[in-house]
Amino acid sequence: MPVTMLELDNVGKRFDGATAVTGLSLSVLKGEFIAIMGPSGCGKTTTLRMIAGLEELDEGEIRLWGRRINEDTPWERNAPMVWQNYALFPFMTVRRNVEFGLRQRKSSSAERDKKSREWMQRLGILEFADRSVEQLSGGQRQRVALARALATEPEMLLLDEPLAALDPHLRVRMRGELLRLHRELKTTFVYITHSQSEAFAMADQVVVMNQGVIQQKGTPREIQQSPANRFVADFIGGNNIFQGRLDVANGRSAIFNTIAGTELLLGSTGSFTADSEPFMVVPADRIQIVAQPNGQANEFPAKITTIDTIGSSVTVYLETESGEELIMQSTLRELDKDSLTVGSSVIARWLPEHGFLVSP
Amino acid sequence: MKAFNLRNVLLTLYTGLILGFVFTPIVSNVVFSFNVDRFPTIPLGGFSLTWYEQIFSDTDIRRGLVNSLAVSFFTALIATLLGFSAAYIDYRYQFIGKVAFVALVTLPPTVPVVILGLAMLTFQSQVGLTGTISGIITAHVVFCTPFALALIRMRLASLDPDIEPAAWNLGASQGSTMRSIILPYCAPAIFASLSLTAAVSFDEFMIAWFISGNNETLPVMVLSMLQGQVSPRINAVGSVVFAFTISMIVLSQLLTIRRQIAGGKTD
Repeated sequence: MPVTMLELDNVGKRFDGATAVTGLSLSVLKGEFIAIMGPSGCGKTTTLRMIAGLEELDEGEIRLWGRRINEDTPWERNAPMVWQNYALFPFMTVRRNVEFGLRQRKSSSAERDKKSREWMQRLGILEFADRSVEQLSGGQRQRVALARALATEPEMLLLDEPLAALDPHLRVRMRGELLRLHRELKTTFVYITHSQSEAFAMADQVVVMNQGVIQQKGTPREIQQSPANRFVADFIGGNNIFQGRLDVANGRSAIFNTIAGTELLLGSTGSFTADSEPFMVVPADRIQIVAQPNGQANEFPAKITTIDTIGSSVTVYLETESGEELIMQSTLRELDKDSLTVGSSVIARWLPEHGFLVSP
Repeated sequence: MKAFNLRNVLLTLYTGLILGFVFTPIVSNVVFSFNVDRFPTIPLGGFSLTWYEQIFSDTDIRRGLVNSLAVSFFTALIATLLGFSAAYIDYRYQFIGKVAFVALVTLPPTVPVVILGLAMLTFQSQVGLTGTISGIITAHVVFCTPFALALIRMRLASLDPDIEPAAWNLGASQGSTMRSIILPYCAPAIFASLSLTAAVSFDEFMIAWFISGNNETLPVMVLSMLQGQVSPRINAVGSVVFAFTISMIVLSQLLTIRRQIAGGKTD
């Protein structure tokens, strides 16, 4: 039976009159891995700092196990944080850094030794124990920061873009390690990131924020498959988004007129009515390219303008004759089969049921 | 290549001349303080500690030395405490008028010392501090605090602003963070500030001359000795003042340099 651990109830925060966060409500289950994601300045870091007690709330309430903690000082809350720039204590050794929280808890020196050794071992930094943190590489500092936060075995860990400062290959490796730690410890992780790939790869629940407001909450799959609005569809990437007007909506099928003047057919209109102005989304992996038109709906002559290759998967950028931009996910193998390159003329198409509408 | 050598020679010569110009009076002062002759003439008469024996047996000079040491000791302590507090306030808090606050603390050394001395005299006579040791200490604290502020502020500027919140976040109260993070981090700057402010206070003349009254400090005493007669004892007193001041400055510089080397590794 999942238990609610942390609740944010209608939380708001302003800085010098500018709204940083407003009307934010969220509940986090015990042991959950929740990722709060959004562009910079969306209020995600402010939210995390409010949970840690480093920012005061202007509105609302934060509850831990049902108890209001708004007034608790940062040192009374047991919610260690992993900082984006690690914030390690510069003149201390690795060991002293890891022991810091234990010292504050007045644990015995034997206990402190045991715990710090155990965590340094676990994160593979035991061999650096007596080195100054200033002599470590970025990846090693990251591990010290994690060991320091986890040494007191908290029930909740706050992570503020912990991987942002790492090299790409290290970032992928740490992602795996964080997931493993989360599975083993069953600690609640609140993870802040601007990277949708990090959020989707690790979190049980993802919260998308923009301009201080939650745009959507859900599992990675829910958010990927049915983004709540235009912002989410755009932010998570990999979507073609068309602006326009819903022209005819006769129950099952509908016509969407883009502002560029193209007519697009779509399967269902959801709750949108004719003459409303939603956005139409077609996931990039739903676009196909064929050599010859076969007279179906949503077929557009287009030219390949750019091909981005990452490993064996490619992102193809197309421009239709009417000047609309399309992106498509494919593989190198698919492209090579028809010997397609930049400049090739193709027919881009998708099935009407693969397009859907979202609110602005 | 040849032109290059010539340039080096000229540069060395130039530097040598400047250093000679600065240090000859001090060196001659020290050399003649060990000379047995009554008058500073060359060739030197012979090595002797007479003048030092004389100044250390002179109760007036001893009193001046004790006054100077006491003033510089307490000035260093109080100025460093105030300088640290101001630097920490500047580091930790954002408030309206912060720039004005820091400017105000930094101001005193930019005021001509004659004016500062005169102002101190007028003010202290109103509150009954003139001619007391505490009066001199108070005036020197005003004058020295900016040096302490500058040194400690420079040190704090290189401390990541997230470090303190990180300590709070790990369960350390504000007091405990101050003891376990801020003070150890600032220690080199604090010691540098203690020795620098001690040195500044020890050989400060003008303000002390205005307000010391009967409790003369050593520099003030040197002037009154000069007015009386020219005696080689002045060379000895000068050497003592110089030795104390230069040791304090060198100590302060050593602490600053070591910190910069250690700090350089961080980035």
